[in-house]
Order: sequence, then structure tokens, then C-alpha cells
Amino acid sequence: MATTHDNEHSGGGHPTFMQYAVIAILLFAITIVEFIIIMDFPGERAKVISEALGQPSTTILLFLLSGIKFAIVILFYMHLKFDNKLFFWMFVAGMALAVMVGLSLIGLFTAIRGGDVRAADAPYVPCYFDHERGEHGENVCPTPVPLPTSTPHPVVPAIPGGYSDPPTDRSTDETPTPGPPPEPDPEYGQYLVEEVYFCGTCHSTDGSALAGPSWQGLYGTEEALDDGSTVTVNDDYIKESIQDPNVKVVSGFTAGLMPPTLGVKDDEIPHIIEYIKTLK
Amino acid sequence: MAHEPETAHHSEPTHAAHGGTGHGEHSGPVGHDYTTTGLNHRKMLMWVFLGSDCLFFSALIATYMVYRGQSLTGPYPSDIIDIPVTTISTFVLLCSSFAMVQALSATTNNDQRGIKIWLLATAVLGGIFIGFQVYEFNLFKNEGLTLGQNLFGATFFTLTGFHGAHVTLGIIWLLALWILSFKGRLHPGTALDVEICGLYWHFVDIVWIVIFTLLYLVGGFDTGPAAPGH
Repeated sequence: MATTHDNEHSGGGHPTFMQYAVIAILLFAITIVEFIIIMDFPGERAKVISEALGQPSTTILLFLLSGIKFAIVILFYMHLKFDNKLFFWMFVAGMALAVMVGLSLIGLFTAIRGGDVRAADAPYVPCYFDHERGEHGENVCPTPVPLPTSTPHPVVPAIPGGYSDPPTDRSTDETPTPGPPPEPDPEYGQYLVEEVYFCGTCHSTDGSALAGPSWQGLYGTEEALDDGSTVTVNDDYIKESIQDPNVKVVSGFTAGLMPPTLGVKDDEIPHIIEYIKTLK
Repeated sequence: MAHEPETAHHSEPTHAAHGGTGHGEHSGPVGHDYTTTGLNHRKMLMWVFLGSDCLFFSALIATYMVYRGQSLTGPYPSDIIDIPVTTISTFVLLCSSFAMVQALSATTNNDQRGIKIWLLATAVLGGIFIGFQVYEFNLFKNEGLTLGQNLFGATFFTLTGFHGAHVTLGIIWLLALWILSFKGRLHPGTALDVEICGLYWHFVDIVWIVIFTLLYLVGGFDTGPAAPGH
């Protein structure tokens, strides 16, 4: 037992000042190498080394170098090389668990999202509970419809001026860019529809039926409603359908799909109506 | 030893034979420091804690990696991460680890002047590192990155903030030891006090090595999503 005590105590095979200094210089050197690998050099944009190696190799090389630094610190500075092996395995066990937890979490989320997909990319089509289905009713989750635009990240609003001018909370954003014109303007309405509220997720402008009725030639027509009545599509009906979409549901479409919480402001609705009028 | 009645029932026949550590002002608890494995229980406790702290940081690092590149609004890492500045603060932290091993070495050699100098040097270097972090956080805040701005801000500040909190705790611990050194409480018999603090300090250093690699060297060039229509 006394031997064990001696083994795990300081002294003995511990490095000297000079050896510690060499270890420190080695750690510095590795950090400098890492820095050189990834940094732009002044005057020339080329990241010479990292571009020559390619992205995956650079990342692997950086991990490797960091792993070496990590190992040097725990083996020499933390004396695991000289100390009792039980300390070594206690720490390595915790570290191995930690790595597995980390990789599992990353794997889990990647599997759910299916790779490199922005979190908010999926068009918002909420599930609803249908009492008519099955014995006791069941949840219905409509398949998200593809967006009519072909941009890779269509839910990202254009941000004029970059991040320094972010589109803050839509409900409080009193001055959207570009500023709202004083008179109802179909072009501004189109901007709101396509860039701010993404109405195109559910409403086409070419006559095809998505989750909601198409807007093509909509204005002025008579629409048959779920309850058998009809309604003329005019300013009041469109305004009501934006603000309280489930009051009058067009026959053949499902109530509850359109969220009444889109945040369209009163003074924005006339622009949207003007835009819908242009869709012949 | 009468003032340590809770340890009286421990039966450790071997510790009496253990030279050095059973004497001095810490004689009470130190006399019962060895577990049935023959390993010091305080040191064992620190290693177990460090092993579990790995799990703590791995959860935060994994969260960062899961949400890496998912932010829909800026600022994005490439907008604000300043790798040269952080490389300097990384150097400072590496220097502090070197100072720490010198402090332990001075303690085991009973070099009282060395103990004071190296402990203070470690704490001051840690303080400079924290200074860099305060500067960086403040700069990021002024650039528009806050905890609630986007996923990058949330995961970045949580991870580096908890690391900074670890460093701060380490500085307090080092300064406490430094004050003890003026009372002559640090000597070869109490070298374990310095060694355990050193283990914690080096652990904070290796966590930074990982954070520096993932958040700065690898993730520091991440940009935002492609703008629509481009």
C-alpha cells in the first residue's frame, strides 16, 4: 500500500522546469501552426494551406493538432502519465462518455433534420385534431406543400444592408424595408406576400390548389363556403379571412390550417388586396 | 485530532507510515486522506469531478454543433469572430497552465518565493484571459449578437460563458491559495492543495483547447444562409 502512495504522489518522474518549458513551447507551436493553417494572410485573400488541403482535411488536421495539445496537457501538466492509472481511467471514462453523449446528440438532431436543413425551412403547416376520423378522432398532419419559389432558403427574408439591419419582430416592425407607400400599392402587397408573410406556402397565384384556395382571378368572384352559403370576394371578406381565417372557410378546404397569428397589420391589408386584384 | 471526531472511526493503519503529509497544520484531515484503493480521496474526488465535468461541457459543445449554421439572422460567426485576438487569449491561458505547474513544483520544493510568484502569475494570466472574454462579449453585444439574437448567440454565449465561469472560479481558488501562502500554509506537506487546484486549472485549459478549435478555428468562418434569389 505504501508503494501505491508513493506512486501517486508528486516527485519521482515528474518533469523538470526545462521539460515543462519545452512542453509549453510545444503547445505554443501547435497553436501557431493551427493559426497559420486557417488564417488569411494580410494582403492576399487566399487561405493558402487550408484551401490546398480542402475543407474536410483541414478540419481533421485541426482536430488532430488539438487532440495532441489535449493529450500533452493531461499527460504532463496533469501528471496522468506519472500518476496512478486509476486516475487516468477515471478521467478517460468520463471523457469517453462525454464524447459519446455529444456525438449521440449531434447524430440524433442530424437524423431528425436529415442533414443540412435550416431549422425553419419547413413550411409551417400545423397538425390539427379531426374528430370525424377513426373511432375517437385522430391527429392529421398535412404534408408540407413545396414552396412555389425555387430559392434554396425561401423563408429567409431579404435583409437590406445585411445583418446590421435585421428584420426584427414582425408585429412591432413599424417601418419595413422598403417603407410602406401611402396609397394601396400592388407591388408593396406582393413584397409583403412573398417576402414577409410567405402566403405562397399555401396560396398559389396560378390557379393550382395548395393547402388554401388559389388567388388567381379570385377577387370579385363568388366562393362557395363549407356551410353551403356563398360569399363575394371583396375587401371586407379578404380582410376578415386574413385576420380571422376560420370564420368563412371555402368549400373543399380545411378549417384551422391558416394561423390567425400571422401578424399582418391593418394598414398592410389594403396593399395585399391590391396585389390580389392584379392576379387575373 | 480530537477536533475531527467524524474521522475518528476511520481505520487506516497505513497512513501513519506515510511521510510528510501527516504533519503540519493540516494534520487532522490529511491523516485520513487515503481510501482503500490507496489513493488520496480528495484527489480522487477531483478526478471524478473532472470526468463528470467533461459531460457537462460535451452537452454544451454538442448543442453548439447541433445548431451550428442554423441561425436565420445575423450576426453570423464570420461576421464577428476575431481569430487573432482569441489566439492571443489562448496563448495567455496556455501560459497560465505553465505557471501553474511551476507553482506546484515550487510547493513540492518548498520554494516559498516561487510559490507566491507562480500562483499570482497563474491567477493574473487567468484574469487577462477573462479580460479578453469580457472584451469579446462586449464587442459582440455591440455588433448585435446577444444571447437571444439567434441560435449562434445562444449556444456561443452559453458555452463560452460557462467556460469563463469555470476560469473565474479557478482564479478565486488560486488567489485563496496565494493568500494562504503568505501565512506559510503551503509547503511540501500541503502540496496536494496546490496540485488539486492545478488539476482543475489544467482541465479548464483543455476545455478551452476544444472550444477554441470548434468555435473559432473550425466554426469561426460559418456564414449565414444563402440570401433568396442568389
